[in-house]
Amino acid sequence: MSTPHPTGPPPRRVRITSPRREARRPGERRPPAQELEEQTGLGEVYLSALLRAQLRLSLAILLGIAVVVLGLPTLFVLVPATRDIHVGPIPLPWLAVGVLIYPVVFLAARIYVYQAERIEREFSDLMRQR
Amino acid sequence: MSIAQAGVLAIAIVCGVTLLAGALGLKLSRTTSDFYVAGRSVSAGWNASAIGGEYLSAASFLGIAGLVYALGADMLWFPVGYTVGYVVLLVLVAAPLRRSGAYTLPDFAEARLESRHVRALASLLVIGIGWLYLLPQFQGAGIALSTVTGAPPALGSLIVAVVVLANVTAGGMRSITLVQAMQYWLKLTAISIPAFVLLALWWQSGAAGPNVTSTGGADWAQALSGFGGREHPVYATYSTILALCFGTMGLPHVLVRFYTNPDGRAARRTTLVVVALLGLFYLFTPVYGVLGRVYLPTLPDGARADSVTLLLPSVIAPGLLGTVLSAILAGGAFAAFLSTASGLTISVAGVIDQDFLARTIGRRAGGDVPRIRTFRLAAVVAVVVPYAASWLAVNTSLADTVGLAFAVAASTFCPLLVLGVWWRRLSVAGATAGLVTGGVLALTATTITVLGGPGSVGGGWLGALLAQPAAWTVPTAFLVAVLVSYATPGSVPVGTSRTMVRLHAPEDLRAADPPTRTD
Repeated sequence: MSTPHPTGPPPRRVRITSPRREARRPGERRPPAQELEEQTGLGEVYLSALLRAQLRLSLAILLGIAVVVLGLPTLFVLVPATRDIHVGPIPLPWLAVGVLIYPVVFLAARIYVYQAERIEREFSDLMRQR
Repeated sequence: MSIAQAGVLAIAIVCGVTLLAGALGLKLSRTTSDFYVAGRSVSAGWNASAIGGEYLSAASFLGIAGLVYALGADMLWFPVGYTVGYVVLLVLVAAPLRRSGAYTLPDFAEARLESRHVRALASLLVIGIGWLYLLPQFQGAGIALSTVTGAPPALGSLIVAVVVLANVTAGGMRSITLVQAMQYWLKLTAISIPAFVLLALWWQSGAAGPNVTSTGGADWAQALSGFGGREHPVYATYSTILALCFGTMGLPHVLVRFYTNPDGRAARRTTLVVVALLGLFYLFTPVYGVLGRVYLPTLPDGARADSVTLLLPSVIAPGLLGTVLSAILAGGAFAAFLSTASGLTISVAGVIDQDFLARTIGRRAGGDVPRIRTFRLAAVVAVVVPYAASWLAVNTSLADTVGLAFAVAASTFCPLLVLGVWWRRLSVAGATAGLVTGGVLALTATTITVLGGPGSVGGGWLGALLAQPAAWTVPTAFLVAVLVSYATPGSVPVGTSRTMVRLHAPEDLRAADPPTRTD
């Protein structure tokens, strides 16, 4: 680069700039995830907040499912009379465990998906606004 | 046409269509990445059907009905557990696992913990769980074929082994995705239509109640009565629920499916559809157990309870109708064995190839051996071992063996995945200790139960604890992983924060996709 060739095209001009150009200019954006990954203090705070919100949601849904799924056998143990209740010709445990539990569980899963997406949307908006 | 001929025809059609769809997919599968996970270009509806198709195994198609028939009301928890397992997976790990960008469980273990040792341990466990889960698929095929045609059980196992090998080695997962999605709808049709017809005939004939008389005053229809000689039914129920709910996420063939979703959000939505598809299917399976109690107070000589679904049509509807229904059910059952065995074989073979064969063969050959070739060799190994094991006389029922595979997965991969996804202080030593503890405890209990058969250690609490180990092995594994992690803060992986960002940050925040693995 240093010795210009007499016959070739003129060497491209190289601009020498100060390291300050690496600094952010107003209006210039870094990808938000970069802030998170670089483990700046702020990024750490945001990640913790996201993790906490998602984990709280997950545990709440799990608790709801546990109340139904582990609660039913507990009910049958603690109140043996529930084992003999019949709904029409069908014993209650058969109806509850064999049929009704599926829509309940699906509903829990559906609530989770919508809430988890909402948390992520809010997080993305927050990161972009900065 | 006799039942045997119709059954053979149905089974032949299912095997033929499976091979044909596999061959069509072969044209599309070009690179190694395509070969493993369908190039990540599978849509959510297809993907959910494929997951359902792969998941509904011999245990679902024949095993649940057999258990309900033999042991009564408490067995209804099996299908509930199989379904709720997907909700637990969805809530705890679905999106982060997809975002981790890894292909297999060992890939995730290595990416999260940055340790080759944890990876090797995870690989061994994938192979162990995969083989344990493949075993009942081959057994189920043997039972189905011999029930319908009277052929020796080993023949049915052989057919499934050969078709799966041909399909997996030829097309890889792209073809399998197509095949699996089709298999779900095939299985749903095959289980639901005969159920409706048989229920209608039962209703027409006066709807006699199920035969509930039994020994020792235990009532077949009553929950927690300990019917069928099961001791400690309350403990067994809780432990089964735990194993199935927390084991699903750790099954090798379940996880690999999540990498075919385009992103974490799609992974969640796919899982939601899966929950609906599974719930729909499982409404039908107990029907066969109940009708079995009505029409088959005692099983024919030599028949296992697992074959009750296949025996029913000819008893309820002798003649052409029964023959047709038997054939439909036999075809559906074979679809179940083929799809689950294919998915498991892909996963197990992938791990054998990546972690053991490719390196060894590459070193021996002193150069590059095409990965497709080593993968095919790995697939042979993945199938032959459990096929050989299925020849040994194993006394546990299909759903019980599958339940034990779940228990091992719940005791090993569940702590690894849950703590890995949510807990930043998980250390390499902690993860290793958790995997080893859970693995050793659950595998020991499993080996004793499967090889000895139920009751081999006598009845009482010891037998119950060994037959349903999850209730004590899962908490123990979690506890060990957490305590050891606290004791060894020095071995927390350096890049934990970076990994956590990748697992949890929505994709739209990313500058660019993470580099995808090409090996």
